[in-house]
Amino acid sequence: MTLAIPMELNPLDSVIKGAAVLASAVQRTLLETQTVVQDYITTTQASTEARDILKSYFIELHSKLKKLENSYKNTATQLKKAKSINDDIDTELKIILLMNNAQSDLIFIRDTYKRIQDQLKQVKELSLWSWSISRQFDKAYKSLDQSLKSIDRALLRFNQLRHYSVKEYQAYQHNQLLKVAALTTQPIQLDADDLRFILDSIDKPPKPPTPAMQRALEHYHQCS
Amino acid sequence: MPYVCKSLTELTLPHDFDCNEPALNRFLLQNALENESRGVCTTHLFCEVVDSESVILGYFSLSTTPLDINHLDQRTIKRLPAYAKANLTATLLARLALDKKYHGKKLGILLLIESLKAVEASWKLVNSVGLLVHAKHDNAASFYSAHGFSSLSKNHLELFMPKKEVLAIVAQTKKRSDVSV
Repeated sequence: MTLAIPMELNPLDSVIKGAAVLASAVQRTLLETQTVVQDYITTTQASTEARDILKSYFIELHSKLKKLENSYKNTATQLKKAKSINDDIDTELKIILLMNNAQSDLIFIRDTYKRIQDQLKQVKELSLWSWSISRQFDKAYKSLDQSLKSIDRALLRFNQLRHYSVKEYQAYQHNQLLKVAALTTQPIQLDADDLRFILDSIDKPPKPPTPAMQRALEHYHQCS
Repeated sequence: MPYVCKSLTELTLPHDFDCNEPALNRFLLQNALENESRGVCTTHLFCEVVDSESVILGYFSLSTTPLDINHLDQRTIKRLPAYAKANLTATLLARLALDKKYHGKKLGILLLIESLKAVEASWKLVNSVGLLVHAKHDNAASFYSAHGFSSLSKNHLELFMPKKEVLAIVAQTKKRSDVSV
């Protein structure tokens, strides 16, 4: 396999840097949200309704953001690997899967921010301080929207760069599945002698157990 | 008997399972459950019961395999009895592995006997002409042939034990249990 783009122009470096920047941006967003929301939840100024909304969404967001952060770290590692292994379909497949996962997680997070924002606006007893939280969420939403656009661009770039076509990936995945199945289901290729031996055994009386099997059976009974 | 066989989902798989064969370790930890859910093979865990806790010592996987006669020449096929031209199947001992912590304690042979017992039990529901095994290497092939398997002529790592011989061995495991009862 040859690269469509000459190695010296290979922009994988920028994709790696992009992934690292996104990873730290997501980490920062996670920490900021954590601090702001925890402050808000513990303060007596927040209404029960607003607190409940934030609590439930925050738990969801927290796990998603953590997952996303790991996805980015893995993507960066895989991309670094891909630099040295330029025709490794496994690595390319992993990167695409990781990036797709990261993308869907990011969409979820962005939409969750939007939902929190909308619901908070419906809470009647919002104090002025709560409105500032609302603005904070608005900011987070915009920043995540930006991250989403970045990952879209990174995926597009990577798709241009990779060596294998979608068809080849599908064929590869199909073969991988077959390989797992083939480990145990591949038909035994018999020759005429093998088949005759097997067919004869159907009618022949059984041979007595070998001496090793006899000893094994004695050991079996001792253990019983 | 302190040794029992359990199904895959009954116990938590030990992440440090090591039988000295990376492919067999990987199979247990990564593929066995998947293969089971896809209907490829069934894996049985061979355990020792210590203080009512089951410790996983090894495992074996069973499947069926068609006996493919299609590549034989037409003259040979014509001479075969009619039943042999149908789709004959054999039971396949697809995997058998013992954790290296328990090597040298005669547990491998107990594992093999347990696998033969499981095969015999399976034949009460779905029959086949005998038991085939793919040995991983020469040492494994020697182990199987010492215990009654015969190498097929084309590949010495593929071995076969006729159904009647499996049944005879399993009958011997039951005999003394019956006497002691």
